[in-house]
Amino acid sequence: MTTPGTDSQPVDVPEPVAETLRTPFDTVLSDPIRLRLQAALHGLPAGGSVTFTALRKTLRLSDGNLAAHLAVLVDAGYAASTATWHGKRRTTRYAATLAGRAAFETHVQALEAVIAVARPHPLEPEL
Amino acid sequence: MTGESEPGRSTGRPRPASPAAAAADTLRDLHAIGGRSRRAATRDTLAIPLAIWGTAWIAGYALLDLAPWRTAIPAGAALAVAAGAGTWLSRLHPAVLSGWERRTRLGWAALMLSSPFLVASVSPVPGRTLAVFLGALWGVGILLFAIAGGDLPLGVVGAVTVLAAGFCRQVLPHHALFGFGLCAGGAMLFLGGWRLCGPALRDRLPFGS
Repeated sequence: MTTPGTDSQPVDVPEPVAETLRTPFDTVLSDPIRLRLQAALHGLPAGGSVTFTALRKTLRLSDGNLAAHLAVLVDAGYAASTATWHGKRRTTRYAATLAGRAAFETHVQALEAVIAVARPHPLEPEL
Repeated sequence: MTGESEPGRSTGRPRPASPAAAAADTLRDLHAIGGRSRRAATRDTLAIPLAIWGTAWIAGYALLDLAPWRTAIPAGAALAVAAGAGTWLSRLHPAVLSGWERRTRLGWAALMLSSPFLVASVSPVPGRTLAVFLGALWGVGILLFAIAGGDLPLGVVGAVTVLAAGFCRQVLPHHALFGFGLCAGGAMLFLGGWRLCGPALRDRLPFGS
């Protein structure tokens, strides 16, 4: 595949990178807050979970903002929530689903592809 | 100034120079967030238990070494119960779960339940030798737990515990218990304290983290 370079010259792009670039970015994860949320969930070991409060503190988000973005991730099937009760206190935990982990990894690969394309070719003289 | 808006300066906020730079910034941010989550699920959860057990080991082994056994054994048992209760309380409503909690509890239960049989297999042995032997056995438990969880500093604590057991028995024959408790408990207390206070201390350092 060839893509236009910065000075309109075609740039050779390896086929795996080109394939990644042809795939559109995930619209759910294109939002920076949701992407950071998914990163926080992805960082947990498989089977791990985190409370709403801990996510709010880690990412420094307001309750409303966090709840809205988490709802989008849950609706998309990228995160799963479970609620537990301790007396009258309700605790909601969130975990990344397999689909969410796969979508996040694909998104990260797409970002890496963007960087790889911009990197100067080793034999190409830098102007 | 010509009146034309300069890229990256027009809004007053620094903006990445290109999509690739923006992607690199995003990836760095994502790696940092993922790393924080991993640490919160594994290393940070052990901070309070390590500090509690480190203190209990230092005090308990000092008691066994310096106090009469009639007093030291019940006091040591009370310290162990208090440390166990403290660990349980610290994990009563955890903010982050690793998903390995049940297997970890089962692993430690297996080690604790097998300890009397291991003691029986080497008995009769003097009480002082037995106390160091049990500490070394639990040190192996810490080491294996650290290897399974990929926690290098905890692995060092486990290794220090095992090495201190052998070293103190040979070098400090009369105060092996005290020396062992100080080395192993001190390592646990240091790591637990560092994980509790380290982030705050690093933020205060003039040269940053």
